[in-house]
Amino acid sequence: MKRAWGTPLLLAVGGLVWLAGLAMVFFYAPTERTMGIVQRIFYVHVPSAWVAFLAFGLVALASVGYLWLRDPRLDAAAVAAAELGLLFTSAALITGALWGRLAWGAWWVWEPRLTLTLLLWFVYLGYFLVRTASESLDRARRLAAVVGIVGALDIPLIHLSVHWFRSQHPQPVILRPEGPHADPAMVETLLVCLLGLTLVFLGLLALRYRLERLQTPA
Amino acid sequence: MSLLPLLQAAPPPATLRAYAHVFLALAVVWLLLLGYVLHLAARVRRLERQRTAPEETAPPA
Repeated sequence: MKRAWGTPLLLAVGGLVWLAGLAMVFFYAPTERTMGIVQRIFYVHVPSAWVAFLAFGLVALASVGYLWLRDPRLDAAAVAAAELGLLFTSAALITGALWGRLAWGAWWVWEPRLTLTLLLWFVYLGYFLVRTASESLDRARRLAAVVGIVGALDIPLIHLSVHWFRSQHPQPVILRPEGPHADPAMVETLLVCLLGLTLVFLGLLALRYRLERLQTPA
Repeated sequence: MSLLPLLQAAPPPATLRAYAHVFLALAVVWLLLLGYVLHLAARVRRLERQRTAPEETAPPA
């Protein structure tokens, strides 16, 4: 296998930036007034959710491209992004539950944002089931592409659910029309964590894409 | 909702349980990523073995 240095470099830089972000979580970001220490879960929960949405957005884009051009490289990109999307959605769901146990007194609440995120996780689990259950590779790729596109429609619903429905989930503090409503040190810490995890995601995506290309026939 | 820093001198009850949840959340993300990287590495190794196996077992021409 040909050695590519871009991917390990991306992973190493991403890992270092993320480590710096985690140091900021404990030594730079102030403790939040009402939630206290447990609010620091926010710095891993939000980047995990952001990367998951980015991954599923890429799945949808690559899937549209695949249905249009029938290029197996686009299918490989979609598979790689979908696998990572599932991984980061799992991280967001677990870290959210750890926060919710202390903030709400419950590991899980059937409120719109959580339920729609769980639905997203199941849709992309279905994405892989469709791939394994189909009898021909071409059919598997086409069906999975459709599931990949339909699943991504859930992402805007998840984002807007806290505005549309009576939701227990905290309202956005960063992505607001009037600008972030948080202490600058908190915003900076979140941005460093976001950058680090995004770079790690891109490194893993490149690695998984290469593996998929090697595994599957053109 | 807003995230405001603590102003008063004494922090809110920074219980051991809250710290445990924060560390657990960080550990979960690290472990998921580490597990995934190891899983990918195992798949790459398996694939490399599969690709080299026919060459090793091929009879001499």
